[in-house]
Formats: sequence, C-alpha cells, structure tokens
Amino acid sequence: MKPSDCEKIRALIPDYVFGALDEHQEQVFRRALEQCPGLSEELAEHEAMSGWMLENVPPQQAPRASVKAAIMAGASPKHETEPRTQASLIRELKQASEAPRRTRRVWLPLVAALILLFATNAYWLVRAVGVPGGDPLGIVQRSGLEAVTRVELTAAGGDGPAGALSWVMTDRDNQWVAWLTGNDLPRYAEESVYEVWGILSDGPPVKIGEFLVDELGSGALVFEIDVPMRTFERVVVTPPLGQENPTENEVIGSAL
Amino acid sequence: MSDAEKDLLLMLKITQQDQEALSALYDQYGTKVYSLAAYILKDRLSAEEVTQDVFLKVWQKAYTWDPEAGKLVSWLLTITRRQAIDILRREQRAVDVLPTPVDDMPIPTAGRGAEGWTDKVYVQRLLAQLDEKQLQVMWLSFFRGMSHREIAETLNLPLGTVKSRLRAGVQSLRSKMRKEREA
Repeated sequence: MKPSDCEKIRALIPDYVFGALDEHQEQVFRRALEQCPGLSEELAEHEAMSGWMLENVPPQQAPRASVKAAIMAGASPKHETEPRTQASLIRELKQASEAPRRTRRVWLPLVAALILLFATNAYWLVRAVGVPGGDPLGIVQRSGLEAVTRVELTAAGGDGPAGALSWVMTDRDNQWVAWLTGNDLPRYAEESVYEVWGILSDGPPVKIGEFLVDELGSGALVFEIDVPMRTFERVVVTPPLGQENPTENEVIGSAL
Repeated sequence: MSDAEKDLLLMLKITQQDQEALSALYDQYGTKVYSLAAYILKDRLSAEEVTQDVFLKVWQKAYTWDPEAGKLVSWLLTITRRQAIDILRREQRAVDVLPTPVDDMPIPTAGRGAEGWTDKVYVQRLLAQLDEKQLQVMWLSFFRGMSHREIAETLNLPLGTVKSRLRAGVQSLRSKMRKEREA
C-alpha cells in the first residue's frame, strides 16, 4: 500500500472507531492495519479514547437484582450429564471407528468421571479452566502468553489422532497455565467428550479435566496447575470409561 | 494477579461454562454495562434487556473475545453500545429521544479539584474542552449510532461539514488526552 493511501486510511480512524464505515470500507481499513506503519498504534489510542467515553457515562447505577437472576437462569451448560454404561460407550466407539463422521445424539457420561474425580484426592493439583465448546485456546494464544514447553501427544501406533500439551509459568509463585489440544480424535457421539489424566509415579491418577471434540475430532482444554507439569510422569487422553487406570484406554498421550 | 489476568481467567472459565465465573463477571462489570445501556436508551426496561443480552452473549461466545485487541471492559461496552443502538434503530426512537448533547454528555459541572483523579474526571475534563459543535456530532455518532448522512439530515448540515466536525473533534480529543497524559 502506498504512503498516500495510508494517509487516506489514517483519516478514516475516527469513522472506524465510531462504527461509521460501511462493510467494504471496514474491510479495506482492516487490511491496511497490517500494511500501514503506525496505523495500529494510532487506532489503539483512538480506541482507548472511545473506551473511556463508554466507561464513564453518568450516572453509574446498578441494575435491579432481577437482571442478574435472569442472566444466571439463562446461562445453562451446553451439555448435560447422564450416566452411560461402559459397554454402550465401547459400542459407540466401535461404531465411530467404522463410520467416524456419523453423528447421533448421545448424552455425555460425566457422572462416572465425577465420581472418579472426587475419588482422587489430588484434585487440588489442577483446576480446569478451558472448554468444553468454543475456542478457549484462541484466547490463550491471543493473550500473548508464550509456551515455555511443549510436548507432542501421539497415539500408541504413531498414526491417527495426535495432539500437543503446552504450558507457561505465570507471574505467580507455583502457578502454571497449560493447554492441551487433540486432533483427529475418534468421534463416538454427537458430543464426544474426552478426559485428560495426569499419571503420577507414586499416587493415583489425577483427572485434569475434560473437553468436547468438534465434528473433525478436534478439541482443547486449558487448565491451571499448582505444581510443575513434570510432576506427572505421563499425560494421557482417554474417552470417559471410568476405569481406575486411564492408561488402558489411552487414545493419545506422552511421557513428560 | 493483575486485573487483566483476572479477566483472562474469568473468561477462560466462562468458555468452560462455569456459572460462578459468569456471576463474578457480572458483579464486576454489570453496573458499567447497565449504565451505558441506560444512558443510550433512557429506559430502564430496555437497558435491562440489553444487559441480559450482553452477558448471555458472553456466556455463549466468550471465546470470541480477543485479549490482544483490548480490555475486557471495552469489549463488553462495545457490545453494549451496539445492542443499545440496535434497539434505538429497531424502535425508531433515535430522533425522538435526542437530548441536547452538551447537557447530556459526560461533561463535568464540578470544579477541577485534585481529588478524585479517576478516569471519569479525566475524560470529563477533556470533553469539557471540546468545541460544542464537534461534540454534538460526536455524540450523535457515538451514542446514537447515526451515520454521517443521518446526522447531516438531523442537524440540517452539509455532509462534508459533519465529516470534518467529527474528525476534528476526535483528533482534538485525542491530542488533548495525549497532552494530559504526557503532562
């Protein structure tokens, strides 16, 4: 883009911030953000200004309590939990491997996972803060956090599903944020859920969390952890079969 | 933990459908969202409707927030502004409720005491220095969502005048803010 074009674009910043550009103009403006030096910085200043205008309208008053009640009533989890037997889940997995893209409505088997979760006395180690549904990974990636460590998660045979586990240390003592991604995981239901387990050398397995996969078998989990990731000997991803030793059901995993 | 970190973790939890996190987010920003909606709509019920819509949208689409693009509160208020302006347009009451902009803008009537040096006082001081005509155009554009053409028709001004007043007003405010900050 020529310098003269950038100058013309620069003059549109106020209109962009105030939402006064049409769709085509907005597209041109966004493209220019990558090509015109200093444009992003100038836009950020304008946006800070508009942010202040929005934040400081008078008078600041609280809504009635009924507003919060209505919001909380409308905010229900995307999936519900219902128990499922191990046999039926295995059957679904088998069907999924024969027709991996077939979709059927099956409710998620989280009750068994929850029982297991409370049975493991090391839950304090980790707090899941990602998924299911949506793209929490995108938030972490866009937040500017950089992974200090990343390990690849692979299937036992090497081919098929794969994934990665990355983690960063935060500026708090003994606090890490980690994110795990899985790709090409077999779908066994319309809303297939997978569990992430940390295997300890000297204690029971720790359930880190769970995530849903999309129609392509992709999913992600973001979680906080209070101990170094390498406290775990191994991290594995399994369907929620509720077994005491999750490594028997490992779909992908890696030694740490 | 910084405010930005707290926001990030709250939003991550909301993507996991954590209702407690949504509740905490509402406690943190509900008043700001509602106040902006009420300021634009001048109607309590409509403002409450917008507040509900905004937080339910966050619940469903938390992952669309881009932390690099700006503060969480800015994102929430941008959504609020759009939702409120949509209602104004849908109900065609933008012109009916048009107040005198200068009286209605967040401009201070109080003095410039050193106490209470908050963002609000800061902005109010800056806005108080703007040219009234520029401010009127900015107000119609920003808080009423009017296009240049609509503003021109409403104020009976040439389109070019509206555009130049808007740009001059924004530039003026921006440079004043910069000077204040540097000082």
